[in-house]
Amino acid sequence: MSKNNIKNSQPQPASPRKEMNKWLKLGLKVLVLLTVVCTTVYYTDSHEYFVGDQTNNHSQRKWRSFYRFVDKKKDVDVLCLGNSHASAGIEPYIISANENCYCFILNTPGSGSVDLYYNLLEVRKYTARKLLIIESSCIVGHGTLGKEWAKIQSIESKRGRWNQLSLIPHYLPSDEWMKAVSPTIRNHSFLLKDPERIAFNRKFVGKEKNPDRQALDLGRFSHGNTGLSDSILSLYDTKGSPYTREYHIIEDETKYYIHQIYDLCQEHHIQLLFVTVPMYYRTYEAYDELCQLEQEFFNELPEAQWLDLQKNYDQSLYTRKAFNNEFGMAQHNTYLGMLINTYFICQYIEEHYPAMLPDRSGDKRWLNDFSQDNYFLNSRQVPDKQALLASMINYYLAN
Amino acid sequence: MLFNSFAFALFLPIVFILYWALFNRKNVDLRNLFVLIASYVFYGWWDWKFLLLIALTSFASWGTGLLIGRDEQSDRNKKTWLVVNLVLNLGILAVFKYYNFFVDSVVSMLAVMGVERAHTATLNIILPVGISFYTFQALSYSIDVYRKQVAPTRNWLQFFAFVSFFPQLVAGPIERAKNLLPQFSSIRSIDYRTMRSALLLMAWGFFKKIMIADRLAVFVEGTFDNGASGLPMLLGAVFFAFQLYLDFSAYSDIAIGTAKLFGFDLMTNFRRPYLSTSFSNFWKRWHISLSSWFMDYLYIPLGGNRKGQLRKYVNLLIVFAVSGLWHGASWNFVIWGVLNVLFMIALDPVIRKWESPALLSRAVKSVLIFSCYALSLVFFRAKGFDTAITCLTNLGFDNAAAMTTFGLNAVELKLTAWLLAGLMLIEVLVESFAVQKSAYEVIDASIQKIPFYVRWAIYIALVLSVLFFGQYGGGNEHSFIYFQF
Repeated sequence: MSKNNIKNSQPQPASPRKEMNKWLKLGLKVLVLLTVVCTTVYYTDSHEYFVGDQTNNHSQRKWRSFYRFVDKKKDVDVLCLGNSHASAGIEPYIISANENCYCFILNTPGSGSVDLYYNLLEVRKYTARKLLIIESSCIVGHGTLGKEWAKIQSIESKRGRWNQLSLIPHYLPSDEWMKAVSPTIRNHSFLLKDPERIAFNRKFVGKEKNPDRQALDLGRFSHGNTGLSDSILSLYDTKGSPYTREYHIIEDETKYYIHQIYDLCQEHHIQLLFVTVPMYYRTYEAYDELCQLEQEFFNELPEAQWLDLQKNYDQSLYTRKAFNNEFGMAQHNTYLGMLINTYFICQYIEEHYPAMLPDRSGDKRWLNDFSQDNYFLNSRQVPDKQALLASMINYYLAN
Repeated sequence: MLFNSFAFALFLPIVFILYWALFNRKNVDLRNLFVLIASYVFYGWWDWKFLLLIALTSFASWGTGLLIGRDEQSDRNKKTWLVVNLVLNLGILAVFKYYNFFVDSVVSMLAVMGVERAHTATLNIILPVGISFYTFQALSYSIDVYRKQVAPTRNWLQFFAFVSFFPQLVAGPIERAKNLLPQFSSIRSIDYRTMRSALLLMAWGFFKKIMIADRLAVFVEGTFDNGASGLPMLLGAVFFAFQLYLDFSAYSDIAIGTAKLFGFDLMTNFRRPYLSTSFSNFWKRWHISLSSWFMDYLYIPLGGNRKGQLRKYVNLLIVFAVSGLWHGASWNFVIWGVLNVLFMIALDPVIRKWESPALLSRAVKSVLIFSCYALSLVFFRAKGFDTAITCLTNLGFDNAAAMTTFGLNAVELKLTAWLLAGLMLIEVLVESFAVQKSAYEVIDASIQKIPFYVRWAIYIALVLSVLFFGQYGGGNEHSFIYFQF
């Protein structure tokens, strides 16, 4: 065999250029694959095929109301933050009506301390406020950074896609980012578990699925009106207090965010007020110890105040009707309980911050928002102390 | 850092680009330093404090390896250094993994003997991820040096990189120094075909994990942890056997594929174990790196099968009991190991007598072995001895109507069944016609024969299938099972 034949019969190694072309081709193929996948996800996300049931997403409703509100160049004077105890325990319409101001509750139930801080930052972009009320039950206990689904709901309630994307790293660990970015990735299981939801979403693509109420939504969300039943009360005898000593803790990360909030308030002359709305007195085990723990923490925030409606509350006022019929650590107030809490909050504001809030009673837009709705008179709940409600009504009517 | 995590999705391409563009060029030590740093970042992502442990293990094994390898050392001294290394590394493992278990076991034993509970203190210790794996890998080096099967390395960088090599650091394969260590002494190379093969292997692993194993896990959790009975419990036990296999083999595939991306070859860890035709054959196909480790470093030194049948059985019992304990600090794992050796002792002679190459007989043998193994895995999965017994007594064929109440609806159960059937069919075909190859190699070779556009349509369809039908989410509930060992 000639040398030439031998040379030609041996396999030729690929030239560097050919090898580079192969690498480029591979890179291009991977890019095409990723593009197809991303485009598919973008399509399903933009058409909202995989969005979950938004019927009870009051977080989104109140934030939309807030954005509509500030778009009209209105100011929020009192901002309430917290978990579900805030929206179920504080009546923003009464605070607004009583104090001649605007009071908003902007919370997402189930979210935690990180949400408080970023909600405050978000509100600050649009409006300044004088008083910040934080309901304190979101500070104590375990898991006070909040639940994942609540955080995602809170993120999605904010305006602006880039704004939402920028919040994700602050709220969630990296493994949850894709779930927060894309409802398709988050709810892809609908295909097998809940295909009816996808069919519903497809039907309403382009149409408003849950039309927002155009009325002013200040963020109240009452959980119930039935009060504590005998069967629930008997559970306190058989099972004891559900809020045990094990939950007498303030987590380090929560302390960090509360300090961040405090510093922000100090910098921008916002008065910070912590409020503890009460649960049925037998819910807590050794409340005095928890109280002491909270007081020690609040002592680190000298300019902030604390209104503790739980400690030694008047049981003739906070009867069983003031608490929702649930046994557990997250027991909410009924609307009656909410009214009573709000009475004390209004009283506290008037005693401690008499000249802090602006008087909007001469503002036509404020009058338009509040004079037509008689929140007290519409309420069917009548507390045991008639004088309480009577005095509130009289004050409201006189002003 | 989990393979199926956002952090790893960022980590891998960055390390890959830096590796090939900058570090794997001319200087081997620089390359090894980069691999070491990347591996420590990978491991330290979980908890940087435990990097000290892996560094200590690496240093002890490297140092004693040098001392053992000195020609002027007497055999007695060499043995002493080996024992020092064994005691140190196994001691660390014992403290972190077994201290509380031993204390509780002693207390329980004393209680049975009527001795009142002594005042004992258990430690509040977190088990370092992968400690069982990298400890065994480091120990195998020392033992091989002692046996003069491997020359001790003077290059500490090379050795540290070998012990902590991130693709196989936390859940194997447990590599042997004679296979992996030499690969760290040269600049690695890769070609297009190997790269493609590596990516496909990783994709195959992710497919098994996300599409099948994690969905099986939902049902298994529902049945084992909620007191299922009848057919759901039986299916739960069967599903767990598949979940464990798919989860662990998926991890191994991803580890091997990842290592390939960097030009390293790791050993195969699974070879279609559920198609075994004897129990001894099963253990040559299941978690091969661990089985071979115990064979070489425990079973054979104990005498193996060279000292009579009875001694052989005793040795097997010891090996499987220790293997069970390796998996976890619980008597359940020991029972799992012992059950398997009893199956081997009792049933292998019977199976061996049934010599027939016919497909039916092979199928029957495989089903028998699978069934016995699945039964033993009830102890592996259940939280406690009593729970395991309850699960076993609850096995049955009734209560079919409750099947969809354990986390998977009817559609998901059907999808899972079809996917499992498809996977086992592929394995049977590969076993029958291409026994030397692995399933993904056969799939890859078959796919290469079809036109480019059809091939890419299949790839896209598969990726979208995983995206829309996969069982995934964040958090530790989707970590790999063997991370806990």
